[in-house]
Amino acid sequence: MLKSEHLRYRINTPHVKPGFIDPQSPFLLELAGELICIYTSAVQSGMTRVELENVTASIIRSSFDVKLASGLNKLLLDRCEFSSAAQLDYPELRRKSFLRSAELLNSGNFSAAALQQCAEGNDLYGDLPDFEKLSAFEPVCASALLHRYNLAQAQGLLFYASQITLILQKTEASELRKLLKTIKFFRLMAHFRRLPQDTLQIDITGPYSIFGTTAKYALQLANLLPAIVSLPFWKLTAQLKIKGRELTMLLSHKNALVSHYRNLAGYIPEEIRIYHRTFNDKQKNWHITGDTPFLDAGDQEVIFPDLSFRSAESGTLLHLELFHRWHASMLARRIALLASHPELPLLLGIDRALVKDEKEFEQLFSDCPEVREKCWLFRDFPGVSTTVSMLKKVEKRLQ
Amino acid sequence: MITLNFHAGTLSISGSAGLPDAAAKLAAFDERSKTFRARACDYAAIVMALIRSKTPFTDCARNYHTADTLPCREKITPRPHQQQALDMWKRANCRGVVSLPTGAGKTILAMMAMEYLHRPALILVPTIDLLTQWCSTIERFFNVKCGMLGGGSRDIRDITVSTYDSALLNIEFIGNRFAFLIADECHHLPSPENRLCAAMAIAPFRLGLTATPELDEEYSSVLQDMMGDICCSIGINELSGNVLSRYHVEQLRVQLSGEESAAYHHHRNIYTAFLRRSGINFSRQNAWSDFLIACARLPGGKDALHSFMLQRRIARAGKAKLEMIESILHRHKGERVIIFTADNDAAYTIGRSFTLPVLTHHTKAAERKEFLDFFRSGKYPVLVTSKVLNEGVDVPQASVGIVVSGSGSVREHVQRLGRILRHAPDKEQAVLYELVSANTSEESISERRREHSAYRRK
Repeated sequence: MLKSEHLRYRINTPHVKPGFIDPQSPFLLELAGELICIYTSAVQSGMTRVELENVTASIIRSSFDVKLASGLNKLLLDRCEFSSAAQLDYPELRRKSFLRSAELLNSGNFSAAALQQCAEGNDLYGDLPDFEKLSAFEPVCASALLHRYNLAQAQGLLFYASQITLILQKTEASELRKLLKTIKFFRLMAHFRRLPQDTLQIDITGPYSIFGTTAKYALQLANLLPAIVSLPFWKLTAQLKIKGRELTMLLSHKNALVSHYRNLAGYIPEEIRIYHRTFNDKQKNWHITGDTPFLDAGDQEVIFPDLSFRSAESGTLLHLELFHRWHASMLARRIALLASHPELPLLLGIDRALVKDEKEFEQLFSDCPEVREKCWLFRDFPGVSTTVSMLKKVEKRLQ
Repeated sequence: MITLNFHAGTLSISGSAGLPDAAAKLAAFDERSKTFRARACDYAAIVMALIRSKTPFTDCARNYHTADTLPCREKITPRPHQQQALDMWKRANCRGVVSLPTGAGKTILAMMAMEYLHRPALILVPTIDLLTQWCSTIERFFNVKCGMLGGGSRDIRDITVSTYDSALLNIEFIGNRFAFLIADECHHLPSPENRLCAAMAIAPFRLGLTATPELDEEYSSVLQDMMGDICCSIGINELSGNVLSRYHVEQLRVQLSGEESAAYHHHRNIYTAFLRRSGINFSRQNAWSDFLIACARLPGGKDALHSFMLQRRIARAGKAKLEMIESILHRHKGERVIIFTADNDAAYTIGRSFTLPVLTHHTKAAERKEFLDFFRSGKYPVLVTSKVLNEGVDVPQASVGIVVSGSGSVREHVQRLGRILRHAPDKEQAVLYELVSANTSEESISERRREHSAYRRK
């Protein structure tokens, strides 16, 4: 993400327009390529943060557009991992040096030079972030970096947003489902209005937003943008407040923004990605299916499961919906739905944060004990072995 | 029947036909969920309105116990001013701000309030050091394991201490789990982000603690809305020499060396000439960001920024100041000294020059704890810090403070003085030295930060 000092925008009250660049421009491609080259060689030579900063600073300073160059540089820095420079045990070195200097100070017989010698010529603070070494760099090509820059400019302005309104046209159900899933993932609220000509208006804000403009949800709104730009026909209006001025930003598919989630259908939050890997490593009888369809339970009740599993042996397909601490209000509704639709091939994983204790968990099913067998508690994210034993149990019951 | 639910930091009110006026005026209809919605912080007022109008309702919002959850481990013996503050807060229906000078025992007052209420409590603090300090105090007085939210911990219990930053991220999930909200250093609360920590919590009982309650009109009104009125205010001069250590403040003007002075004025001229050329006036709002923009856009901007940084560095931590530090350390041999700087660079320069422990936000948790423990025990007689120790951290053994550089903020200066004011055995008098580079912009910065009664007394 870019910081405020990297943002380029033009205000023509009441509108604010992000300063997009031309991702095809040979000059810009050259600048981006040059910066990428530095990072690629820096990781090979294990440069420190401050060395890297010095090298990139010379390119940035000599660039025809300093702000643009530092923005690109920031996006490249975000792709880096630094590791501690510690060849020395710095805490131990410091402890010994400070105890020596403390002794001198307490004796009263000291000079600045004598105190300095307590470090025995070592740089006491050689493990500060400036001295961390570049250990990994996620590669990117020049063109992708320029596209990422444009998206980051729009995202950067969304950090000042209180709400966004989306107009979608001719959007397929599957795309809509993915968008709704992302809205849910970022704990935002959507208000839908169907407009003529197969058009849908979605107002997206946070729960607290009705009490006044707040930037509390701005980061979530900014994170939603890559999901939106993957849609075919969209228009976005964002309400922003920049330096006390109420402004509007308009974006649409015509801006040709490119999501850095290469394919949103493939966008999987980190914890789910780890779960996928662990599940496939540990488990051969079941596998996670790539696509998770939505379940229509009728009466406007549409369920978007988080994961779907297919049995290698029987071919049975079962779905799992996870209820984290922010889904409390939906849980009772879903349990009631499962009670009235026992045929639904759906399991519910419930975050322990949602219930005080086992007793309260059991009470959830006092009116529908049969649903209890499809549900279990987890902490933060479900474990693989518990999931598999639940899948087996539910498969048997559905047969 | 009306049902109250807690939803992501708000109060969702369903079945709201017959909502009494006093409650209805606090709620708004939410088209998204087709229910009425109110701020979580208005929970107490809404429940009281429902009870007073005898309107039946189901309360599914509250998710905390009312039973005795706070067994005492150590008896709290209040000092008179603490008892006075507690009484006044109780008279304000356990909702209000108490202003006491640093070192007057605000944390103990909070323990007394917690003991009085016996309810799950969430304590908001500005820094990780304060987070660990509060947890230790709570576990000393009460037989409970204290929850921690922040600094890598996410352990939520009936009594939980959280940094403002972590609370902001989590309050929409946990805002209904506490009946009592304590905001330490509550002058931080009214900022546009932090205020949501209080607004998205239902806690009916609230206590704000600060040594520096002076805020502008908007922030004062937010603080009052979130925490209640200032119900008790006791000044630093009322407690000095009795509850707090006696102290004096000494301003020391240091002369830049000839070389440094020439470099300072050279760069100062480049910088101020640029300001004049680009029409930037630092008495106006947003002047700093205007300056940065001008530096990026206008000819000579890069040089002006470079000169600005250099002249500031010379004034803040020139050779003359290092010599003065050495002389003060000689004068206070055997005493515990904290050296304050305005930035990390200056702090590390001093740390390297005298081989001293430096505490900044870069210092990792384990070493941070070791530095503070060793300083308290006397193993390390001197500690250097930029801003980390400005607020709240309890180091009563410190009797000498050296402000090598700082901002013009009165609050920062008062808080720094507060670090050395706590009573400790064998501590007769505390001294705060303020080093100011003569004939530099530091003189006017110093004037600004000394505008507080604590510095004006004779």
